[in-house]
Amino acid sequence: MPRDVNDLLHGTLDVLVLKTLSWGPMHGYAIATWIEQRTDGTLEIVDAALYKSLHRLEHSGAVAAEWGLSENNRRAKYYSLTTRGRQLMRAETATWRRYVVAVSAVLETA
Amino acid sequence: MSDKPERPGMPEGVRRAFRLPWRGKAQTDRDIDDEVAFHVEMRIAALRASGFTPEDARAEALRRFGDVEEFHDYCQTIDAPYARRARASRWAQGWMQDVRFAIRQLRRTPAFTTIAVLTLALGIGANTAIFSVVQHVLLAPIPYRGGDRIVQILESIPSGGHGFVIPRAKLVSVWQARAHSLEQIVGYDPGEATFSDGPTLEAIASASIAVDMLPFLGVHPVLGRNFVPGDTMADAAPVALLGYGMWQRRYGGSSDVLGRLVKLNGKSFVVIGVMPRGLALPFDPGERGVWMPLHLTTPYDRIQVLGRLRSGNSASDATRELSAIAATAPGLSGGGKYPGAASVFTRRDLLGDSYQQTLIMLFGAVGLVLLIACANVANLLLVRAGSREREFAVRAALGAGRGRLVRQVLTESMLLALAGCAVGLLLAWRGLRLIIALSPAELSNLAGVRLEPVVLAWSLGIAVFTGLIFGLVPALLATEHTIGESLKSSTRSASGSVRARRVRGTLIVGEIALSVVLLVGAGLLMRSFTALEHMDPGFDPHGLVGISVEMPEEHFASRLSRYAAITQMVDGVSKIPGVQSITVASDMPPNDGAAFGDLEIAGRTLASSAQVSTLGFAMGDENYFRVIGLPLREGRIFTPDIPPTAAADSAIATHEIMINQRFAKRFWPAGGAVGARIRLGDKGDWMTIVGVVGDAQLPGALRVISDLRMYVPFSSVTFSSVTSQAEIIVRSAVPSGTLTPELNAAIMRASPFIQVHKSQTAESIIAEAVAQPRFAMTLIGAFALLALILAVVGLYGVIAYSVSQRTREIGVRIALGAQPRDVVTIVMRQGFALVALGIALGVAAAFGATRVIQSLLFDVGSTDLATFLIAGALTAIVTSLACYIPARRAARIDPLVALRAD
Repeated sequence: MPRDVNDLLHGTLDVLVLKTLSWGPMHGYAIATWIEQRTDGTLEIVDAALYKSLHRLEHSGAVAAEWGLSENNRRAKYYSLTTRGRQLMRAETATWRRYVVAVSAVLETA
Repeated sequence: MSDKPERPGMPEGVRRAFRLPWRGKAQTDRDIDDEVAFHVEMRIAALRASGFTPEDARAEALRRFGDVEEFHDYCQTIDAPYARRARASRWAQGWMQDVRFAIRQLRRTPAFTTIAVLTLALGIGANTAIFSVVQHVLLAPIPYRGGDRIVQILESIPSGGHGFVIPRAKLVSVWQARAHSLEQIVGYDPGEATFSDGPTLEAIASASIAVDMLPFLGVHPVLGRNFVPGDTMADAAPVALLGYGMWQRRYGGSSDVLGRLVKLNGKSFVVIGVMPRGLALPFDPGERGVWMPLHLTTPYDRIQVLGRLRSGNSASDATRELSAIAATAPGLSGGGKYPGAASVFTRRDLLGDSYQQTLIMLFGAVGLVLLIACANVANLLLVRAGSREREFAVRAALGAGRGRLVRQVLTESMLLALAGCAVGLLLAWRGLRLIIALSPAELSNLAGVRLEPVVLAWSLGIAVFTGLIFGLVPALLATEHTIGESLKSSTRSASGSVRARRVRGTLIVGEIALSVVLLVGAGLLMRSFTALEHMDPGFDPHGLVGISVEMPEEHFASRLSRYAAITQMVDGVSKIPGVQSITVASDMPPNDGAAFGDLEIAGRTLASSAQVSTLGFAMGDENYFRVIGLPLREGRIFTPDIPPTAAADSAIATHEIMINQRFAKRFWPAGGAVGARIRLGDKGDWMTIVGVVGDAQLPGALRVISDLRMYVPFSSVTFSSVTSQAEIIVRSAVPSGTLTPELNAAIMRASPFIQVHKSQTAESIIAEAVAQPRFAMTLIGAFALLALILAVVGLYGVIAYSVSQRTREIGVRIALGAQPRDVVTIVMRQGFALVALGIALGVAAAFGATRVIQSLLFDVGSTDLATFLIAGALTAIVTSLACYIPARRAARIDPLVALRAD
């Protein structure tokens, strides 16, 4: 259920954003649509939460921001992954995998 | 750990400790709005593409986004610490910029900077020095246990005079037993002694102190032990404690000084310890070489007394209680002969009103000097700022707010003030040494004045304050014009900045006025002091040297033995070459003691308003008046009492006395004092007045026991209780430095048991009496001179600058035929206007201001015309000179050069 899935911790959203950005610099809307497409609409992220996450990541140096021009010549803020962000992404992904394995191990016992 | 993300548009120099290029809250809000707007627009476009209507699409997009407000708040919360740091950093940066810029500016004009800093240094330095003195003397607590409650106790003379005497030891013991308002009472006796440890003699200050004096003060000897009660027994081995300074000086601080034998006044003492550093009796300060235990020998020995008030009790409480105890003490009160009332004094009381007033006056004077210094520097800054008007206007046009420019100018003035403070502290430090060296021994409590942290803080405080004062006016004036105005007008316009000129003129007028006030004050004090100094003491003090000796009862039990000792002393002293005449007396003139008792005149009843219970009192032998040069006005000199012989131990009293002229005039205005009989108290003996002598007086003496004085033969039976002490007075042309050791030696040869106390000269007593007024006069004179110099320099600066501003105008006049004389007149007229106004204001202010020091003045009124005239004239002359020099230079302007340059 989207509602349950949307109650994910901040950290999960952050790692999703980081992973998305590993494909290249994007603006906030593009990130949102990308995540929606990848999850086939299962994850409908509250945009405000997404931008909060981006703000946090920018403060911690995981992403860099720059104002640029979008496809339709509008002023938009583009985010890109920094080296630090890449490291953070790898670490968080590993943590997430361990988490999933652990939870699955419990849930899948007969 | 930290990487460097690429940050476009990050301002130069912003520290990379934080990520966001903080561009202000407003900018960040706009960025967020833009981003949100973009996102929402994209979402709307997507929704419309999938079939929503424009309104529905917008609604859905906004719904999908979520709470924008909350997002804003969240960002603000995250940004807050960065925002603060960024703001602080920017502010600090701006300030550092200002300081660097100010330093550069000041360095580019070294002459201006030097003069400004020196002027401020003089003002701040003088203030610091005087505040240091005031703080030490008036404000700082006494550094001993319960220091602010330590008081001095004296017996007071009830009616008739305003004198106080040192209390009797017996009364002190009664007080110690019965007083409740005081926690502790201790006695001491300051004095002098001749110290020797080896062949040479050294005259040092000494003190005898009660055994519990050190515990009273809360200190311990740094070496050895304190006195114990056993040391004060009559048959105890004499012991002494060395003063710290003496210990370091003579014995190098070595601990094997313990147990050493030293001689004081010829008597051997064992050193049992060393006092802590800087120990001084609270009300008798000054370093002492040795300290001895207090011996109380005869019943009427008098000792100085210190007490500590119990918390919650005031000095007047203690005064009341001790007086009451004294009034009922058995055998010590009443009888008409001795006073019974007590007075308890705090440190402030003892300083005396005139001393406190002197200090406050000095404080005011340096305040005025500082104001003058500030005015001078403000003038300098005004001139400087005037020439930088263009620069400021351009900066304003480029976006600097007026506040920023003002801040820039203030930074400069603060730097000047701080530099002035630093140099001023140096000046104060040296100046204090000078002041202490010049200060009379009487004010020896100045010895401990140092630059304490409080004083440093004060100095910094006034530096900052003055920096603000003299910086603000030029800052405001220089930045008031807009770019248009200042670029249009030529910097050399004749009017310059009219406001600035008027301000400068006002400042100079003020400076001159203040200088006049100070000059008048100094002049008055000078006249007062001169009058004091030339006051006729009534006798001839030149070459009079006296030594006070004591013949303790244990060795001189009978009057005959004392008489014999005195005869031997006089004999020995007369053999010293250079001694012209000798007399034996009770005290060194013009000091005297007191005699108590209600005065009765035979055959007369005195009105109660004419009642007198205290008289000044001195004893002398038949040569006394001749030796000290006190003229005989009427009658004859008394016949001395017939001296005791072996057969009759008591002398046979003649009951003859002499009185001074004031006494005679008071009660026998038509004459006839000679032959009259008086007595003190109804139990006293009747005495016959046989002669009247002139009045001996101490100039400027504040605590006079009485104007009326009586003289009694030295060996007089009636007042026999004091003959264990005597003053051997000698008139000689030999300087006292050479004479005194010889006198000491001769006296000690007469009998080894005689104790020699201090020696003094009549001249030094008189000099000390005027010491305080002389000190005040010297300092105020110096400050007045300083003020005048500063004001004159300021005036010169203003006139010279004005001339430079008017160079073109003057050049034109000369070209049109003006003579040098005419040019000088023009310039001088401008100066005179300022000077005249300044002097007028100054005189008016002085009229009111000098009333404050009236109580310090002797024999001259606070509105003394001559002083005002002289002060005004002096100011006028000196300031005229200050105007004349630039005027002369103006007259020599070459019109061609002047007109060409712009």
